[in-house]
Amino acid sequence: MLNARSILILSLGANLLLGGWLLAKSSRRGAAASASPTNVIAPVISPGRQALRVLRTNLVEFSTNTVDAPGFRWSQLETNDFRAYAANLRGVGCPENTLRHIIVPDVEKAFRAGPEDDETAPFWENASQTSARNLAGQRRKHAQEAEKRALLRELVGVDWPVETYELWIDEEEPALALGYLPDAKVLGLLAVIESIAPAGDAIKREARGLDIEEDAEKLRALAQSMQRAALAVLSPAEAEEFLLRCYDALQDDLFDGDRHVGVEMTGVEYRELIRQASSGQNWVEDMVVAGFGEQSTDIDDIGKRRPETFDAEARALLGDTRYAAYQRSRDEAFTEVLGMAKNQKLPVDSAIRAYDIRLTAIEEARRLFANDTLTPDQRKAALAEMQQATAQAVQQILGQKDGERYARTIRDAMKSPGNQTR
Amino acid sequence: MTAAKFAVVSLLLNVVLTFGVWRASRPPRLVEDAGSSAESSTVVGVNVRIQTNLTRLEVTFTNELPPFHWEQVQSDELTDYVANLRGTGCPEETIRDIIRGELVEQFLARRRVLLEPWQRRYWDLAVHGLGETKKLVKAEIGKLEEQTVNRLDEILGSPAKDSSENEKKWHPDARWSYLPEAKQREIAALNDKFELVEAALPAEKGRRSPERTAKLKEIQQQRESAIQSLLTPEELAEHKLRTSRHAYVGRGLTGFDATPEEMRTLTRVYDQFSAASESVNRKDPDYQAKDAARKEAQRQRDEALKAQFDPERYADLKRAQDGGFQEIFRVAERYDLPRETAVQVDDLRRISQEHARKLSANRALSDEQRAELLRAIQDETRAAIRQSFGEQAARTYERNGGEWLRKGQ
Repeated sequence: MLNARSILILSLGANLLLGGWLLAKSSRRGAAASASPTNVIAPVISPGRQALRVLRTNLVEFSTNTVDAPGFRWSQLETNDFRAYAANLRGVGCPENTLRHIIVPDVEKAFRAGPEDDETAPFWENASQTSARNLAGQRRKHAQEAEKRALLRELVGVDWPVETYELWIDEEEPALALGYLPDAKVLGLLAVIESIAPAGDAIKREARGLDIEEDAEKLRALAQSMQRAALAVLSPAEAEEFLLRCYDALQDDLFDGDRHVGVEMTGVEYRELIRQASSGQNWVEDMVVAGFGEQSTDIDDIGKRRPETFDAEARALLGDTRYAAYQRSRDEAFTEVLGMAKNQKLPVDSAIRAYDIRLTAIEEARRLFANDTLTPDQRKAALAEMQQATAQAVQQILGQKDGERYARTIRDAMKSPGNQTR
Repeated sequence: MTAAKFAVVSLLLNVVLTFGVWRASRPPRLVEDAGSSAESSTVVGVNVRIQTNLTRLEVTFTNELPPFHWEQVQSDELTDYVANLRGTGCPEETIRDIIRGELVEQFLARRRVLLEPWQRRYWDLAVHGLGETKKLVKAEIGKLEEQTVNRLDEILGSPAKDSSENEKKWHPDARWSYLPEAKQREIAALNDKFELVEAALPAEKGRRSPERTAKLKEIQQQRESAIQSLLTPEELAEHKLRTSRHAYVGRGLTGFDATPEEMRTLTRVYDQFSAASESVNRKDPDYQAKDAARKEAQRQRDEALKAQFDPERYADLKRAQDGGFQEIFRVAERYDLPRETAVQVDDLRRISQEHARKLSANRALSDEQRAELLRAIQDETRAAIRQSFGEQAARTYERNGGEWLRKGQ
């Protein structure tokens, strides 16, 4: 049986254990409260109730999900800064040709939106002011064009003017004439040719309508630089072909009407003939001077010029008969009678016969005028007789109306046979 | 105190501590509010309130997409290409440029193939002209265009927007620039209105009928009175000057540099003597009388101008109207020479021509003597002009108006 002393010892032991547990529990709560500033145990008073303390706790709930990133937007590429725009496009692997299709129209548009030339001029503006304003406007336009082309060259590597590009797409004639060249070469070549326009225009503009000797020299230098630049685009063979085709285009009727009617010639022979005709001529320079200068040179005449060696070389190439036929085909008197024959649906041979009658009549008239044994009256009578006979012969071929018309031109030519080309 | 008494006290303490352990070991009862982070409170038991701050954090992870590459939008099927580009928000205008570029490239590649046989025979065809070839090629190219570049609208689903509407903007008319903009716009609207009235007149072939002429005149008068009704008296006076047929007299004067006020004066004086500007037909039966009247009007106009300008300025005005001076001035202007140089050269020209005129009238001289003296005048004048103008400008003048300086001319 336990006595009081034993019970006391056991009870004190139990007290120590229970008190220790409570102390340990309360110290853990204290540590938790100091670690979280929001976990404050504060006494509060709840109305009507006995409130001893408030226990605040913070709970954090995490939730996660995954979504796809927003896709690519064009606005990530496009910017008003053309250089950055081009760099962005290249950065995403945009092909160079597509980049050109994007950048070139944008640059063109930006430059179109530049200051306008047709700004309203003051109404009471005197001649000097008008002249100065026009000159400044043209200079500004020229500078803008140069700036645009430089920018395009920098951005996309080419500076084809948009008009040139559209012309190459739309027109059949350049396509036929230059179709032997790759598109890029044609456009490069046309850009070279176009590039002289601003410089030529500047010379013309600064001349202010005056024919200035030194300007012709400047224009010749410009033409030479253009030729050098063109040769850099083309191979020597391509360049030779280009110049021959261009010179041929300066002859009459490349794309309209008939040429060299009544002449049998192969393409190889004709190409050689054109080479002979253009040889030794500075026709490119002459064209530039005629195009931008103030001298009254007819561009059409440039293609008709022939070097001194031409007759002999062409005769050797074609033989006498075909050379004569070639000369005939280039004679306006033949073109005229050919037109009449065509209108009446007569064969080409009729035109050739009428033309030959003309040549014979002029030759006879020439002999008549050279005959010193005749008196003026005798010469006059003989000429009238010859004219009569010629008119009848021509009318038999061309009919009454056209025959009479052509006979009239022959009559005039017979009056001054020395002025007629043989 | 005995051990028994201590044991009783200790046992009681045992009971109290046991109760305390029981209370402390009970789990707290929590009541959560429905709100994600709202504070909620509840009373636990009788004397503890637990406030819970619930913070719900949502974290969204975004996939890292591979960088964009042009191949993602490019497609051989152009309608897909368009759709892909539209999907990126590419502007329609840019899409049009891209697709047109693609079509043009297709066109050019196929045109090259098409032209190839013609190119092989180029010179054979050129002998007799490429007229027929052009017709055939044109037809073929036309078909090719239908298959390529002309499909642009069909591929895009709509034609290009007409940008002309957007570009329409206010272009003020210089004749009205002295008016406030609102008034200028009113006048422009009036002009548009009357142009529509004119356009609504029945069309006529050949020469204009007297009825139509009368109607047009009536409309013109209506337009003029409508415009005038908008103007103050000062504005109306300026309007009359600006719409005068003589308003351009001052503008055409080379080397005169008229001020706006001088130009107004010139217009007023020319309007006052308008008969001086009339042309007279030589075939007119009254030609003599009309010509005399015109000359008298010109004399009066000159007198009036003399009264308006000081003598020096009047002399400048007369010089500016002289064609010979105008040619000299153009050269001076081209070489950036001052007006004074042009005046100097013009004086030389006048003196030289006066000498030449006197020589021509001198019957005491033989033809040879006259020719020799004329050549001497010419040489002297040319040398003097070269000194004033400089070599280059003088040479240019001799080719542009100064041909009379060349020997033998």
